[in-house]
Amino acid sequence: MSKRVVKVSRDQVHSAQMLIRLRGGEDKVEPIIVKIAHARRRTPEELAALEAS
Amino acid sequence: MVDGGWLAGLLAFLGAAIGAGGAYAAAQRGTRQRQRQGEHEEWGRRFTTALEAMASDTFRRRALGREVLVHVSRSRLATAEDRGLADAVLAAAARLDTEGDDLVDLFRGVSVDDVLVVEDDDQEQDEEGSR
Repeated sequence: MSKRVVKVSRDQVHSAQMLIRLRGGEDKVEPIIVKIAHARRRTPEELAALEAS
Repeated sequence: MVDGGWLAGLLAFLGAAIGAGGAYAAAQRGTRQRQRQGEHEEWGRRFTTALEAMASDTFRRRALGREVLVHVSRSRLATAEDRGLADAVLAAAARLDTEGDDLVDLFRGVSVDDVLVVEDDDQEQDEEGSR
């Protein structure tokens, strides 16, 4: 089943990381915030492969 | 008849001592209060500077602003309201995408395993190109 790809900015990633730090852990934020905090850049090839998987 | 002279003297002495002690305690309280007020004013300046930096044109300054915001919000000088404000600012910055859509609302009820979040560097290239 293909995954829905969501693009976020570097500011969003850093804000999510800081929010987790402020609240004191990943279990204190919504799961999508954890996903945003762990988002990393992908090459177009990686992205295509992940979307298809 | 009892001579009350020494008793009056003792009471006067005790009264003066208690008065002086009270004045000293009040002065100490005032000093501590001014010190706390000064500390909180300095804290407030740092909090404001952090928020201003988050609106900067450069990622580096924005990131530093967020770091400072978290740091000052965890200080003993921060109130629950201050921490709530910092939390709300960071949560909004994390949740709202460039279109203004709230990702938490968008994916409510959707398993996060079905979502792949990737960092988009297009925005950064635009930002650097505009410098």
